[in-house]
Amino acid sequence: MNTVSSAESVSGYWTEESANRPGRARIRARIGGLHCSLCTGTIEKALGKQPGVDKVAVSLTHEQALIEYDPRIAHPEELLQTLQDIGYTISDPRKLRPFEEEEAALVREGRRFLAALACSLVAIGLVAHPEGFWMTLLSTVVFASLVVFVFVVLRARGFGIALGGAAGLGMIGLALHFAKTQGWLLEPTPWITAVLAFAVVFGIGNHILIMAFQALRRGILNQHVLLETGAFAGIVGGLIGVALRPSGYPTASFFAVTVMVATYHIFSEWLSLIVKTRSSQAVKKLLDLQPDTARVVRGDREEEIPIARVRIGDRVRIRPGERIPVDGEVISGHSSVDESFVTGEPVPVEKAEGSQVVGGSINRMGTLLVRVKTIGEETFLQQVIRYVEDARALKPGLLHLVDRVLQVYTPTVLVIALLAVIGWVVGSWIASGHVDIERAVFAGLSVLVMGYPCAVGISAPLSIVRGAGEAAERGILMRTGEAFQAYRLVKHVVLDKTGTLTEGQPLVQEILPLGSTEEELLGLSAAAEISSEHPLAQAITNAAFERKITPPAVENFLAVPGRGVSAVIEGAKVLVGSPKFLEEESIDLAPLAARIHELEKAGRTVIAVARNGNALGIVALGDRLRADAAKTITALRKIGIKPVLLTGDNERAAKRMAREAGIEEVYAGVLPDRKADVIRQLQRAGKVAMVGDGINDAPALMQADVGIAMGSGTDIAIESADIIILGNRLESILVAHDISRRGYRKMVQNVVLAFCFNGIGIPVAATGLIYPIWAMAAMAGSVTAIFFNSLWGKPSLFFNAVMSVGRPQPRLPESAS
Amino acid sequence: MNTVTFKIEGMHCDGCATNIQSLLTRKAGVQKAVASFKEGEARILYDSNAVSEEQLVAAIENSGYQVGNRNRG
Repeated sequence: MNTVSSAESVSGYWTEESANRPGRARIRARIGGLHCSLCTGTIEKALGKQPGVDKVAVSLTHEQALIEYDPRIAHPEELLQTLQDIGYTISDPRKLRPFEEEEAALVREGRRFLAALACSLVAIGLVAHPEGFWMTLLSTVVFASLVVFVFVVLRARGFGIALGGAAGLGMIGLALHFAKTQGWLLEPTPWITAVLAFAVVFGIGNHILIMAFQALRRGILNQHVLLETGAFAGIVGGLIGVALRPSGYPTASFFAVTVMVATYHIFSEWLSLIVKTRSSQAVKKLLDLQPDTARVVRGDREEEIPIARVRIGDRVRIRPGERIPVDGEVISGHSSVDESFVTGEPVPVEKAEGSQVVGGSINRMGTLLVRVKTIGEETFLQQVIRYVEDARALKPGLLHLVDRVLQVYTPTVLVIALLAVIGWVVGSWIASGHVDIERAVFAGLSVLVMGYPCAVGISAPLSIVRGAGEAAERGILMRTGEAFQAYRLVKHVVLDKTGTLTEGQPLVQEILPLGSTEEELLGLSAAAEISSEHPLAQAITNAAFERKITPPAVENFLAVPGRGVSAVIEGAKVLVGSPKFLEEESIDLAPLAARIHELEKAGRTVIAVARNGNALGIVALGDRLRADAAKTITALRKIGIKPVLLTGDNERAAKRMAREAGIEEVYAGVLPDRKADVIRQLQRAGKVAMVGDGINDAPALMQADVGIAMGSGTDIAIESADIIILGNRLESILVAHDISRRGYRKMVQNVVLAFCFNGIGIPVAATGLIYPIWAMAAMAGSVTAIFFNSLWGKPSLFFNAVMSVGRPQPRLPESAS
Repeated sequence: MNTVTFKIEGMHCDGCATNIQSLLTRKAGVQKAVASFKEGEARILYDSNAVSEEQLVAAIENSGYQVGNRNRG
C-alpha cells in the first residue's frame, strides 16, 4: 500500500510550510482512510485536542491535513502518530507523485480543449445564419452543446467558475452572432475565422498535427491523418475564398468548419486520455510490490537505504511483518516466510541459516539477517516483471475495430475526393466547354471536410466509459480494449486453483469432538494457538471469534516446532497439534483414526486436541471452494464456455476441487513456467481467458487472450491483467462477460452511427452542391447520436469521468457489495 | 483472553467502522476486533494482561465516538 504501517516511522511523510504567525510551524500531510465529510470533523477534533496544536484543516477532496502548531510543544511525528492511532493512514508523498503528474497532464489537455471550445463558440457565432427551421434548430443545438461542454470541463474548478465561464463564452458567441445579423462584422468575419482556424490547427491542436505527420511517415492512415486532411481542406477552401473572392463563397464557413472539426478531435483525444489514465491509476493503487528501501547493516549500524543502492554481499535485516527486499541467503535468524506470490501456497516456509529467500515475499514472525546474492535486474521478481513486459510487447493486440474500419475508410475518402474533382473538371468541360475549377475544388474540399468521421474518435472511448463505468460500479476493472473485444469471444476459461477457485487461506472445515462439545474443543485449540501467526492457527482463532467463543486463559505454554503446542489451560494439561504429535505423547486417537485417515487423504490438515491425557477431538482445516464457484462454473457452461482448472498443486487435491466445482478438464502439477504452454495449447481451439491471482500466474495471464486477475493479490498479476475483479467474487467473471458483450455491441452501434452520417454526407458533398455548414451539421448530428446511444440511462458516468479531472482519485471500493 | 462487545455511537458510515476496527486491531494486546456500522457495535478479543477494557474504551472515545453499552463474554 502507499501507506505507512505502524511499525515504520512516519518521518518525512509530511511537507513543511511557512506559518502565518511567528513562533508557529505548519505541516501538510497526505491522509488516507477518509470516507466521508464527517470524518474530517473527527480528525480536526482529535488533532485539535493535542497540546500545542493551534489550527487543523482537513480536506476530503484533496485528502490532506494542514496542521499549525507550536514546535516547542508538539512534534510532527507525534501528530501523525495520533492520526494513525485514531485509525487513519498516512500516505507516502513520493509514491503519490506519479498520480499527481498524470492528473496534471489531464488538466493540461482539458485546458487545451477549453481553448478550442472558445474558438468554436466564436466561429459558430460568426458563421451561423439560421434560415429556416432546421438550420435554426441545428445551430442552437450545436451552440448549446458547446456551452454545456465548457460548463462540464470547468466544473472541477467550482460551480461558480463553471457557470461564469460557460455563460461568458456563450454571451460572446451570441453577441458576435447578433453583430453579424446587424451587418456589422461582415468584412472582418473571414479574417477572424481564418485566425481562429490557424490558431486551432497549428497552435492548440498541434499535438494532433505531430501525430498525423508521424503516422503518415510510416504509411499509416489513422484518424489523426483523417482529421488533418479535413482541417487542411477547410483551410485551403477558406484561403481560396480569401485570395480569389468569388461571390457567394462560404469563406468563413470553411474556416469555421476547420475549427469545429479540430475541436471535436481534441475532445476525443482528451476523453481517450481520461479513460486510459483512470484505468491505469486504478491499477497502480493496487500495486505495491517492491519495497523501496532496505535496512542494511554496515559495521554496527543499520542504515535504511534505497533498494537501488544495495550491493551484492550487503547484509540486510528484515523485521517481522516486512516484505523481503532482496534475493539472498539467511546468515542468521529464524522465521517463516510467506512465499505465496511465487508458489501460490499461503502456508509459510520455515527459513533458518542457509535458507534462500526471494525478494517480494513476506517475512512473518522472526527477524532475519540476509546476505544479498542478486540485485537489480537479476532478482527473481525483476525477471518475472521483465518476462511479463516482453510478453505484453509481443502480444498481438486485437486491432481495434475503429482502426480496422479506418484502414478502408480513409483511402476511400481520398479517392472519392479525387474523383469528385476529376468528375467536375471533366464533366463541366464536356457540358459547357470550360472547366469549372471552382466547383471542382469546392467539391473535392467538401468531400475531405465531410470525410472526417467526427464521432468515430469518440465512439470507442465513450463506449468504454459506459462499459468500464458500469463494471466499476460492480467492483470490476475493465482496462483494455481486449476486455471488450476479445472476452465475448472466448471458448475456454482457465482457472487457477488456490486463491482463485478457492478462498486461498485455510479455514476450519470440520470440528469433531470426542466426549466434549464443539465450543469447548474450538475454544481450547484457539487458546493454545492464539499467539501464533501461522495461517492454520489464525484460521482456528478466527473460527472461535466468529462463533463468539472466548478462549480460556493460558497459564503455561510450550511450542514444539513443526509438531504442536503443549499448554496448561485452567489447570489442565492440553496438547494441540498434529495427530502424530499426540501419538508421540501417548494419546489414544483410535476412535478417530479412521476419520483422520480419510481427512488427510482428502488433502485436509488435521489438528488433534487432548486434555489431561485424553483425546478431546479433532479440527480439520483446509482450503475451501469459494461460495459462488460451483454456480459460476455452471453458468459459464450454460453460455457455451468450457471451464478448465490449471494448478501447480498435486493431482489429488486438484481433482477433488474440480469435482466439487464441476470442472472436467484438469491440468495439475503444472510448474509456473509451463502454465503459459497450457494456455497456448488451448488457444488452438479459440480464444482463451485466464483467471488467476498470483505472480506465478502472470506469464499465463499474459499469454491468454483475456487475463483476469482477482484483486486480492497486490501483485504483478494485476499489472498484466485485462480485467481485475476487486470484490473477489468469482461470479464477477460472468458479469464482466456480459458487460463485454454489451459494450462491444454499443461500440459497433456507435461506429455504424458515426459512419452513417458520413456515408450520406460524402456523396452529397461530391456533388459540390452543399456548403461546409452542412458538414458541421453532419458532425453535430453524429456526435449527438453517439452520445445518446452510449450514455442512454447512465449519463452520470460520462460527466463523472470528465468532472473528475483535477480532483484526486476517490478510493477504490474494498469490495463490491 | 476476554471478549467484550461495545455499542458505539457516532459512526456515520462504513468507513468509520473500518477506522475503528483498524485502530483497535493495531493496539497491543488486542487479538482480534471487528466493528460493524450496521449493528453499531464492535466486538473485541483481547489479552487483559496487556490492555484493559478502559483503555479500549478510551481509544475509541479519543477518536470522537461514544461507547455505550458494554457486554462482556
